[in-house]
Amino acid sequence: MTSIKSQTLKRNISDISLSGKIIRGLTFPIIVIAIWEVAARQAIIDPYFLPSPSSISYTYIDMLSSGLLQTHLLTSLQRLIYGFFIAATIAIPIGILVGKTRTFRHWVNPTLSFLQQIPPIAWIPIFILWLGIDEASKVAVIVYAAFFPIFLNTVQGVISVDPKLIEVGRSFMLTPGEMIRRVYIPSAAMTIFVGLRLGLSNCWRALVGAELIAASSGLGSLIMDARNFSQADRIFVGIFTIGVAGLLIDYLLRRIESKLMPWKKMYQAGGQS
Amino acid sequence: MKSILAVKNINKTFYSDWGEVEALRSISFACSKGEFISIVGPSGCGKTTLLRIIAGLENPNEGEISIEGNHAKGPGNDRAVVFQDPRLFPWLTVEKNAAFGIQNLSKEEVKSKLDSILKLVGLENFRKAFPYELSGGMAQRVAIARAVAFKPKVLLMDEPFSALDAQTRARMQLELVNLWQKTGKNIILVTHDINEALLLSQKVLIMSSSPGTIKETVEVPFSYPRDVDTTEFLRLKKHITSNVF
Repeated sequence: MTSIKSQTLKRNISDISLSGKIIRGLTFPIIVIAIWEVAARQAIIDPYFLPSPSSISYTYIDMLSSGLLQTHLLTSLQRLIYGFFIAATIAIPIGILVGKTRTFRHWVNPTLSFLQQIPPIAWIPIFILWLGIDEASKVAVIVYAAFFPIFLNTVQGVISVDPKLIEVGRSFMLTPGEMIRRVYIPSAAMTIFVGLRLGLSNCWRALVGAELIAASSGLGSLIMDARNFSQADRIFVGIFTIGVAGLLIDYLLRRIESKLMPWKKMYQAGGQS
Repeated sequence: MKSILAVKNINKTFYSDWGEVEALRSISFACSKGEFISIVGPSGCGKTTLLRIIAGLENPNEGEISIEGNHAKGPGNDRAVVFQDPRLFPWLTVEKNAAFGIQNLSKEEVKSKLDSILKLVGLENFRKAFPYELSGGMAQRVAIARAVAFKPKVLLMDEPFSALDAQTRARMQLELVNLWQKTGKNIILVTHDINEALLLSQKVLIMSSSPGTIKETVEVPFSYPRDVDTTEFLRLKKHITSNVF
């Protein structure tokens, strides 16, 4: 079988299942929203507590056209990106170092296992005390939230590099630096990416948490403000935006992943044909 | 004749919690320029260990390996290994895998070198393929190309065809002779297949086990391409077989 032929074959199969997946995935939410809308119109539920989907969507359009939603979303995303990149630049190199040196692992593992147990939100009060109520404390929480998934997966990825490939590297006289760059990092790339995705979704949650507790902008604060004014429709707009943005971010990361690692998709599709 | 590779009095013992195993005892042999040597022996006789010591991937307890008179400690760019499994990097294409060991060359030089080597192993149409798209024989050809592109003086092969089906193996054996004649490299081939050793090499080292020693060195006087059905071939094969088992 030629490679081109097998690729188109695989692509067709995944196309079919993709559109099928989307339809199936949307069925449940559409049914729920339909029932919800009917219930609201029949006045079965009190709109003060649960506004109808249509009124939520009017509010949504309202907030979009006034630019309010975008401002909050952008603020949140900006914090997310800062925090995430800081976390990744710290966690990946340390993860590689810890994964490569067993003694180092023995020194730091207990401490890290302890820190890992603490939810990021628990740190918010002390971060505010140290860093003030502004951006820095929020970014710190995000860094903390993203650090462990990225770090732990990097360590795992480096530990599980095939020793046979390391031996190939040795027999071709790679320097320690080349070994990391040409053998360890690409071998561990898939696992590191799993960590990045987990880290990003962790960040997103921690960020909203931080904004709910202490912020004057961002999606979390939007929800908190709406609560203070008993605007349930705005709360729902905030919640949906958080969910959709999270989905889009994860999708984007997965796209980047398959662009960077074209061989990965074939692994999952059962490559050995 | 001047020797390219000299193996001098190698001893190797493995130590573990449950005791020690003497794997190799006073192994010595030399390989003159352009020579193709096979090492055969029963499984567990230490032939792979010997190859790994020559490759510098393992250290002997005693003795030394020298290449053109220079003591060789650890891996060197004068030796390249083809392992039993291809060990390709799954994230690299065929050409990038083949070019893995190439150093200090300009882009054009790498390209022309790859052109000739991939052609030599018959993979010029699969340059952009990833390892998962290759059959076992093709993957092993990439591994051979990678080793040859490294420009070693000695090519070390550890049962490179043992995982292939019979037909692919037969074709690869012919190709290996072809490659050896074209490049003039020294080849040391570890195999458990006596037929393969006789078909390919000029000299067969027969090892015996526990501890691994060289029992006999057999010269193979036949010219290439070799005919496996001649009485001389069969007589030699019988001789080696009775010595191995």
